[in-house]
Amino acid sequence: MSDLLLVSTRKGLFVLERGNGAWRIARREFLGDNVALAMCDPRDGSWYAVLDLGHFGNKLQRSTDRGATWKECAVPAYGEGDEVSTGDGKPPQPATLRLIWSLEPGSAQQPGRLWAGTIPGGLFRSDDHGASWQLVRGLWDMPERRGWFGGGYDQPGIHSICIDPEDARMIRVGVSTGGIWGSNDDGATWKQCAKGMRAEYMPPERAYDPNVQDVHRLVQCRGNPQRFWAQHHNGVFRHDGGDWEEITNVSPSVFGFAMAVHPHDPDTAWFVPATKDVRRIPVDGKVVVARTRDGGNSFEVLRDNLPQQDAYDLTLRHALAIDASGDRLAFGSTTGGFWITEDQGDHWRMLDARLPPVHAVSFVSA
Amino acid sequence: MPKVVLSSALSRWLPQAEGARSPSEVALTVSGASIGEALEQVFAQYPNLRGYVLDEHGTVRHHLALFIDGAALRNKRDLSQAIGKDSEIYVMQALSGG
Repeated sequence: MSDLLLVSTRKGLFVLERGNGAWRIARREFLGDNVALAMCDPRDGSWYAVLDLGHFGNKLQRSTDRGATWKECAVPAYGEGDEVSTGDGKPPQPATLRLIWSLEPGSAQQPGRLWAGTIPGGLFRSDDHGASWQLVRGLWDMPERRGWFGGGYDQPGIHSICIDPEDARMIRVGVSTGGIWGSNDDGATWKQCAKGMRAEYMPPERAYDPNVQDVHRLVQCRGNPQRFWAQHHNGVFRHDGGDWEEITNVSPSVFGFAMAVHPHDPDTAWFVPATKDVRRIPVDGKVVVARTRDGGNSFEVLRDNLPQQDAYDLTLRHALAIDASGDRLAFGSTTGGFWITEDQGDHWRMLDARLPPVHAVSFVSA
Repeated sequence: MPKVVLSSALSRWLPQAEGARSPSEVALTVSGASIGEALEQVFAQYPNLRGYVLDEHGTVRHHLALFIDGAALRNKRDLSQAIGKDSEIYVMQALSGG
């Protein structure tokens, strides 16, 4: 089990450590700066942090000594002539890096390989620990990419990257808003993989168009990579190799951003629901986690030690994490609430701190 | 000689500022006949600074302001404006809250 958590917030990166059965803040990095996300690379133990500096752009920092010192890396960059065209009528614009929205390590056989998903929609690859980046042209140059559009942001972006743990050439990315794209040849060629998803916000004739699906989060079961789950703008979907299947009975709501799947049991998954898209607060002011153990046939509503009155915490898409054991989960909210469970959500404990708004949470591999 | 002045919000990201509790404004003496030439000299000294001031297309970042002898740079895509031998270029962040 992991005893370390990286919590990326609007005002810094907080490293939480477990000791004597309790979690406490052990380090405070980049205090005052906007940290969009952070992750530990399990291959070499490096930590990466994305800083979204409002004035000065996105920066990527790397630490090889567990946060004691940091060194700035390169960031993905678009080239002359790269253009963002969107499917919602906005005028085309030159592509510039707006946000590194997702960052994932490659496989153990690809040392130095990192994947970065960005707003405005480019997927980038590094083979030198972030010292340089290449735009994945095979995806960027797909004509359908010009039909993507922003969901919450002005421009579309890649927020989820799933590398198949058994075959690292198999890559799936979640796009808001542009469905799910997949490559089976290490990123050379791509195809749309969101067939079966339904977008109720679109005109009826476009509702099942895979390229307009607003996927909020895409996750893959490490122990059973055939199984994917997606939290979508208007629902939850499950995938076992065919079309996506809509799961309509998530309680208390099918709307939300964050989700996690158990690393070994593909039928066990967690969601942090909010009321609906135009009311992004917990249902009835109660923070809860929804859990299924049977592939979405039924859901339990977990609320032990979670605030059940006048709580208006929203959990963003990267702000729920699960560790490699599948027993520990942690999530943080836009109002700085932070909760940890060590028994798959049966019981939660609140961190004794008032954090800044939480953007992302990830466990450090043990 | 022209001078490029970096605000403290910017100079704190220079490598030398690591560990400094309260980084201060930094003034660098440069040569060059245009804004672009002056900035290139600063970037030669501090390569990481380029990405803080300019985006990947060489445009001054949206939330940065350049003042040349007291006047704001009007076209953030054009750094060819001539400068004098005693010009001062202030590189500063737009003021914002949060």
